[in-house]
Amino acid sequence: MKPRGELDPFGREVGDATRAVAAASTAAPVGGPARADGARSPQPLGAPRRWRWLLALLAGSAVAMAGTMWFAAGWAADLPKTIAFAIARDPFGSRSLLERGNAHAALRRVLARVGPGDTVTDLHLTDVRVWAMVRDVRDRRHSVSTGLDGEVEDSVTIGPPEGRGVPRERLAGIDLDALLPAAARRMREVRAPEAPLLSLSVDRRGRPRGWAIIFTSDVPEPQRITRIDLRGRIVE
Amino acid sequence: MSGRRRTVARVRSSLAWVLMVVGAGLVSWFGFVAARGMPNECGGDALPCPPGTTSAFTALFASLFVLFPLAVALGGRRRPETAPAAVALATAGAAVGIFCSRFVADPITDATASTYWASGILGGIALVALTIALLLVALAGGEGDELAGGEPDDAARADATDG
Repeated sequence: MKPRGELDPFGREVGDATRAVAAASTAAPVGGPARADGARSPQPLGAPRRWRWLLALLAGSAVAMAGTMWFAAGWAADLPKTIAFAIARDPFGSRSLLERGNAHAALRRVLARVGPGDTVTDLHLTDVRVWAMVRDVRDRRHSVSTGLDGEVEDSVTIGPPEGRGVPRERLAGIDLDALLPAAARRMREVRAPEAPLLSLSVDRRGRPRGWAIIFTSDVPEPQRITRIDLRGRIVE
Repeated sequence: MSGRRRTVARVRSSLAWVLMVVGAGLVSWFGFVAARGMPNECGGDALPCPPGTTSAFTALFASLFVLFPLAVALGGRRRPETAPAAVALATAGAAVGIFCSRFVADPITDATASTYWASGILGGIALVALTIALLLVALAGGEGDELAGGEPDDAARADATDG
C-alpha cells in the first residue's frame, strides 16, 4: 500500500518539490533575517575557513608593510634632508665629502676637469663641496666644483689669477689620508659645532705646503685657524 | 550550489583580501612619509612640499576611503571580522610607517618622544581591533563550515527549484 504523504491545508498531498520549497521558506528566519524578496542574508562562514583567511590576511599585510618599508627606507636614504642630517651629526661620516673615499672621489672628479698644463691656485674641501680655482694655460681663471650629488660645475671667474698654482699631476698624488683624521681630531678638540673648511696651502714655487683647517666664527679666535703640514702635524 | 555562485563568493573573498593587503601597505607609506616632516602649509605660494607628500596623501585617502571600505563591503557579510581587521591593519600600517621612519630608516631628527607616542597609540588601537577580529573568529564555531565557499540561501533555493 502506498504510504500516505503529508497533506496541505486544502487536503492535497504534498510532493517532494513542494516540501523542499516549504523547508527552505520556513528555515529562513532561523538562519538569518528575511529579505524582501524572500531570501536570507548570507550566513557567516565557519571558523576554520575564517581562521585561514584572517591569518593569511595578517601574513599578507605584514609582507606588504615590510616591503613598503624596505622601499621607503631606500627612498628616504638619498633625500637631501636625510643627507643633511647625517652630515650635521657626523661631518666626517660616510655621507660627507670629508669621508676618505668620498673626498678622494670628489677630488678626482674636480681634477678631471683641469686640463693639461693648467694649475690649481686654490683647493678647498668642505663636508658638502670640493672646489678648485684653476688657472689655464692662457692665464684665465675658472672654478671647478662638485657636491654631494656628484655633479661637476665649471664656471668662469672674473679677475686675474692669484699665485702660480699647483700642476694637476702633482695634486692628483696628494695624500688626504693624513689631513682628514687630523681635521676630525682638531674639530673634536675645539668642540666646533660645524665642519671646518680645509684649504690647501701652496708655497711660492707651486708646491703644496700643507693645509689650513678653518672653523666658523662659533669657535674662539685663537683656535679658528689651524695649520698642518701634509703629514697632518700642526705647524703653528 | 552552483559553481558560478561558489566562484563569485571566492572572488569576493579574494578581492577583499587583496584590497586590505594593498591598503595596509599604502597606509604604512603614508605613516612613513608623514613622520619625516610635513609643514603646515606647502605648495602653491608657500614652500615646496617635501618629496612624497602627494603620493602619501593619495595613498591615505585611497586606502581609507576606497580600499578598506570596499573590502569590508565585499567580505564583511560572510566574515564579520573583516571590519575590525580593516581597522587593525589601517592603524598598524600607520604605526609601522611612523616607527620605521624614525628608527629603521636613516634619521632626520633626534626628537623621538612624539614618535613613540604616535606609534604606541596607533599600535594599541591596532591590537584592540585585532583582538576583536580574533575573538569574532574564535567564537564563530564550525557550524557554517560545510556551507563555506558559497551562498547557503542561494544553495537552498537552487536545490528546492531543482527538485
